[in-house]
Amino acid sequence: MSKTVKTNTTYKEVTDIVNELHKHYGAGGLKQVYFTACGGSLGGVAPMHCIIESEAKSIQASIITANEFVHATPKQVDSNALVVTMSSKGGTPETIAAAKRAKELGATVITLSTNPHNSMEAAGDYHITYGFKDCPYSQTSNALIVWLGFEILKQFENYEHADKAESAFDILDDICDKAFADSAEPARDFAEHYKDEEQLYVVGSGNSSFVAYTTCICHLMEMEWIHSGYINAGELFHGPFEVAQPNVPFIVLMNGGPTRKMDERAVKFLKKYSNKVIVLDACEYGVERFDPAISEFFNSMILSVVARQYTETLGVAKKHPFGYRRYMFKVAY
Amino acid sequence: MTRSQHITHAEVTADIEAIYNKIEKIGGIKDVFCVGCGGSLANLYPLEYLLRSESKSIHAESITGNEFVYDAPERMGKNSLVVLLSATGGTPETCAAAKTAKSAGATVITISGKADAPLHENGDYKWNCSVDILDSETYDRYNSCLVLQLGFELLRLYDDYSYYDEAMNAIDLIPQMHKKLVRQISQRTIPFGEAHKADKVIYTVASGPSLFAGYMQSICLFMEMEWVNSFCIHAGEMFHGPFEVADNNTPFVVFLSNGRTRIMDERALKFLERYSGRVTVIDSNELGVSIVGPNVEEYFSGVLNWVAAYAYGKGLAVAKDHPFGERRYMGQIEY
Repeated sequence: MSKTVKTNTTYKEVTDIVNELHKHYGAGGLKQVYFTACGGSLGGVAPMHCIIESEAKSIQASIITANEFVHATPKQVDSNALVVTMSSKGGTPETIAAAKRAKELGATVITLSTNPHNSMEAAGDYHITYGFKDCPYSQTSNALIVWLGFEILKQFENYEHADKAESAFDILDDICDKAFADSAEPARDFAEHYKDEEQLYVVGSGNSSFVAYTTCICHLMEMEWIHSGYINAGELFHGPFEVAQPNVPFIVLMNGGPTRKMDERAVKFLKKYSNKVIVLDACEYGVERFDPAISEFFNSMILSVVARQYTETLGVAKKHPFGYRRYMFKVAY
Repeated sequence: MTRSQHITHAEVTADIEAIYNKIEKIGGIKDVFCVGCGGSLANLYPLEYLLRSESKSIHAESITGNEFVYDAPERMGKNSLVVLLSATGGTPETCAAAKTAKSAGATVITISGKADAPLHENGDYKWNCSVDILDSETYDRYNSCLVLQLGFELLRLYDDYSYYDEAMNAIDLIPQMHKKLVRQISQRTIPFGEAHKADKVIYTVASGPSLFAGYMQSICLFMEMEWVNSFCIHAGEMFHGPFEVADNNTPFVVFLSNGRTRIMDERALKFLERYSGRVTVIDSNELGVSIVGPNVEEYFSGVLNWVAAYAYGKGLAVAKDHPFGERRYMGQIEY
């Protein structure tokens, strides 16, 4: 048996998928897009949810963890719905079940994973193969899914900023490579200072709320066994902020764009009452090089590069590599 | 018009019919946006969950006040119903969001525990609700119970919903269920507090109709009122990251709901009972929700579980000798 050579899906191929979707649904036929996956992959589909939810004039969007999608399926999932799912290796049982459930109800299903042939691909209508490591950032799930989001807006709603969105991909690799390089030293500094913390909160809003969520549940809780919590910057002042004190650390993700004021308010408060505030600011890492009409939707790409570098470096400093697990794939659950 | 007493169920029905008649002429309601902050955002979740589960024609989503102000969805407009809740009636972000909704041409329902709330300035329909979680007699007019009724009214008008009568009967049963459950858990809350008074972190785990109860117990009761570190984990997300923090010293409160999502809650519980051992269960079934009938019990699970979640929080406050009203920042400093 010959080894299949893996090729990542190209932007042209993603556009071709949307061409077919456009023919399939016809004018006004696509009413809802559902985003469903588990854990880090839920964070993976979130950047596209954000684009549709915020920018679409008629298409509605929801994001739901896969098992809830399976057991408490939204009533509007039918032939007018598109369902976007992701599982990095393509084997997450809940996500495969969600794709199958969506198909049963007549929805069209796009699946994303890092390899071209797997149970996820078999369960859906269209498959996108993305790169994870050792590939340009423009081939990662984040980049491909954001392209897919803008392409849907362009073809279905004649999105006014479609050209600007497309041009953003010309400078994406440059910005993300630079963000990775520039965050290496501050990440080492962070890791040295915070390697003994037992608890680290992560605050984010808008386009980066799911980066904050993934940093919390995957990179800190799962991979580093550190107690954590994700706090939406807008919710901070309605409960969570009362835990802020000297020596309680908070990582705050700051976006460029319309929700920045929320992030700034959170940073200002936290810096006043805690001496351990780590700010990861997309503006410092070049998000403003994108056109202001669409730059908001690229915050999560930049901050996911930076946040991952921070937490992975923390793992090195703790001598607790990202791959350690107590339970996942080790015990029955 | 502003009402001084709690809105009645008949008035809720009348308001939703009036909204239906008004918006039907211009294409009907396409979206319901639930907007608030913290506990007052969470208390709208029963409406989002009900519509998501049962409506073929209306899409619902929840957005925290300031995100709605700074980055409102493009499609929000004349075919939108925006429901805003502020228990105190003065939350600046929610008041600003009401203005955003009103200027976009949406129909606006404002809900508050205060009749003269600033929030009501931009409300087309101003509802005065109960905010007293532990009062059995008025709990059917507590904010999250009222928005459940709102949802069932929309389902009757837009989706020809088969179980409307069952749902209205369930709303009538709320005070009696509430009374029974408060009695039922009265001996459990202080022991919960005693067992957790030295804990630095307490996680909550919930899904489906009880997600908002788990979220509120985490951010309002544990973090805000008791200054305990916390985070609400979705039971379905548990096995995709968060479960790795479980050890025999870390406490979890697990919410079990009746209905379709119970299977997820039970899976999380089974795992945690084995690997944590410090698990407190709040179970709507044990608390008696099934008397409302099999077709709607799921949707009432969350509002019952929330009462228990609150009472357990109070038990912690007593055991820690840290009253609910104590704040470092809220209302104490500028932010």
